[in-house]
Amino acid sequence: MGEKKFITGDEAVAYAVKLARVKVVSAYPITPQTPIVERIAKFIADGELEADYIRVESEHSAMAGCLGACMAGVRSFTASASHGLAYMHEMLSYVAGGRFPIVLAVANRSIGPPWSIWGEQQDSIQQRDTGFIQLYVESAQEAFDTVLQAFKIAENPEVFTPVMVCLDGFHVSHTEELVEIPDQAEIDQFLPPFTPNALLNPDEPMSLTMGASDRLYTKWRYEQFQAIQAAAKVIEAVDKEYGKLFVRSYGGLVDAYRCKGADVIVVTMGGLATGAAKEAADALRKAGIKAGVLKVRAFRPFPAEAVRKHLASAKQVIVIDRDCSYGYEGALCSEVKAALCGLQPCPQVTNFIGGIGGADITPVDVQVLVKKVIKTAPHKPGGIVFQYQEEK
Amino acid sequence: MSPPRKVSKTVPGPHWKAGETGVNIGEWFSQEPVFTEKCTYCLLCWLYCPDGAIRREDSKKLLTVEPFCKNCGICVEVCPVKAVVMVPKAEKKGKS
Amino acid sequence: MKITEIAQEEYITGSLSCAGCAELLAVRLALKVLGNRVVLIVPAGCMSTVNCYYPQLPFRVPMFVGPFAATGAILSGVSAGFRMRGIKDVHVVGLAGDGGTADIGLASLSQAIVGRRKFIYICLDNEAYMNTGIQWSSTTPYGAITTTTPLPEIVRESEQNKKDLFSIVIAHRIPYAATACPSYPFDYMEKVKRAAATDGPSFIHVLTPCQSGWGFPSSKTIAMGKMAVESGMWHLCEYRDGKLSFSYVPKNKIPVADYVKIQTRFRRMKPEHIDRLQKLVDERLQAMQEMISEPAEVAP
Repeated sequence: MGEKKFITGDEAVAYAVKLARVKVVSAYPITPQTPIVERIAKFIADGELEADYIRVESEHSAMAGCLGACMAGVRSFTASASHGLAYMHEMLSYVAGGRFPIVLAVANRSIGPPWSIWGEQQDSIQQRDTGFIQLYVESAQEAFDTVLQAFKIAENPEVFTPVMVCLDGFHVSHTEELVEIPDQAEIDQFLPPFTPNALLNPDEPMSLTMGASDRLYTKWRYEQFQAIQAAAKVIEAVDKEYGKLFVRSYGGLVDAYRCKGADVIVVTMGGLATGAAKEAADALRKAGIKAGVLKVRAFRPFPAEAVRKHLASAKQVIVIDRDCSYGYEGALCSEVKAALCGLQPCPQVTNFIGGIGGADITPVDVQVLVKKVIKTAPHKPGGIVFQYQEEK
Repeated sequence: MSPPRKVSKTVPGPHWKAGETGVNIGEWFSQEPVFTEKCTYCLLCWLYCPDGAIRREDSKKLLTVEPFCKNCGICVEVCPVKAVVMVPKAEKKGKS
Repeated sequence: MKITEIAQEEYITGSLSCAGCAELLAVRLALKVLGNRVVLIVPAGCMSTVNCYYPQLPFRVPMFVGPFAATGAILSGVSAGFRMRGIKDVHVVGLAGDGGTADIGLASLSQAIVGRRKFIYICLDNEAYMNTGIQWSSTTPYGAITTTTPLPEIVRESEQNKKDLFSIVIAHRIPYAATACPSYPFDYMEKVKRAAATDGPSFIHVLTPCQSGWGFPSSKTIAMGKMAVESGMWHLCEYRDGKLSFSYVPKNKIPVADYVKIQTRFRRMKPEHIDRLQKLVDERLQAMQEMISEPAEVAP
């Protein structure tokens, strides 16, 4: 009944792609996702995965190759990060607007300059408006499980929206852990073969991704909007179903850790921040501070209702952003604040921007931050704390 | 313009059944080609028409033109025996 | 191929293209050869914009309006997908303009050829970004006025005349490539047939005179294409099994001056510019003749 392997997050993604029986992989290498595509190439070479690997010349073409394969009626996959994801930007809107169920893995990395190969979530956050579903994972195991769930979510007839699975560059992508990998037969039960729509089909000729003006355009955008909203329930249902079959599930849209009765809740996304915050919460609770962690798993569609529900009775909320929307604040923080809008009383929200350019966020960092926020509030409400800003 | 036709519900997204044409281009043009008795049915005009607007009746060696002809005049130009003439639409109606 | 043998079925009608559009003719003739078991990938350009805006959908075969830069990659993806599904009887065809091929689409095309998957890439060359209102592209000839080169005599990029896209493509040792023009319809259709029969990528570079952008009466489209070939501004050649040959060599080449004086896009050219263009055209012909490995075979 499956096997356990000691592998990195990237390798885990590759195993998931193999078990999903992807037929076309169209990809371009970039740190820190390269091991994903390398491992997939090896699976194909060893005959373990029957697929065509298109070695394109750029990430823009990588997503275009997947799009072509999807229209031809097969399951496709690609991976990127950082500058590559930025290069792919046009195609992300194209694939989402055209309602193509493609899965994209992103090993989150900073976009320079300053040049850095290290982890940060700026790359995928920047793409939040493209219409992709975005899921952020905490571990190699979750990366494996979520990529498989992603295909099922994307291909759901009520959804037909592409999915981006994000894993922290290096912290999750390159760190080895024990990952349970079910049998192909078990996965086949969960994820049936891709049933192609009659997209590029001479027996049913269609004009695809065509032009439209005002009314028709808006109508199609509304359908796209409704579909990604509907995806929220599908994400929860698929996670539950996966949990029934394979024991592991991740809370669907959010994972609330010790949030009940918490005075201060730290909101996180991805493995680095979540891991540090969970350990910090345990230590703080031991020290008598009622702390909890709300891990946001689905960033798009944003789980506003769930966020509001779990944070409503906290006094302090600290949002850890491994990104910054320069000119305002961290993106996750803005979304959280919007979700809390109108609550009476409303928790005070502090934004911690850190873990960028590969900087580490330790459990001690989070504990210090929490204690500081409790000390200065409510005299100095909210605000933005940039990591290392006090250092000379 | 005719009202929008129903979208295929099996395919979500900005996709449409091919070949639906709601615009009558012919309304924008005031002339049409006439294939006179000089015509030897060499079919060069038919071949060179960019819009594929010329229709063949091989058994009768007869050529007619579809309403979406854009009056480009290529058929007039390429005819080796000058058998095609462009006439105002009203005049042709008078003839038949 | 006899004219009476050409299929009568029309697979594109009601297009919103300009009257006398050679691109439309090229697409229509290609579909006559390929039939309706095709899928068309059409990036931003005349052939997508005039053929895909609701409520006018002139194509009666499957078509996809693709992103500008990625035609090659989309073709690779579709070809790969069909192969994985065991679908062998559907032609995968790209219909891209000169901008979408020689400029923004060049990298994607290059890698697609390298990938050696089966598709037909037809580049419809009207020598500028015509769809958006006549902007210069790397295939705009020396001396032509466009909206981004209103003073063509001082334009550095076109000093060497058109970018030699065909040479770039055959440098990949593509299984089949050809240049063509709908003014020579039988030659063109035969080339489409050969491209379709190729087990791998194929490329046809088609000169499509544009009455709006070049400045000539719409009825003269066919004549203009013939003049382009007769003056050496365009060649009809073929690259097959690693060998380059001419499909047609004009017996009495007409001077380039005769060609430029009947198109308003060349109206700023002075005698010295025309001389320079003639020189560039002669040099290009010489360079091609040096590449030729077989004597000319005259097109039917």
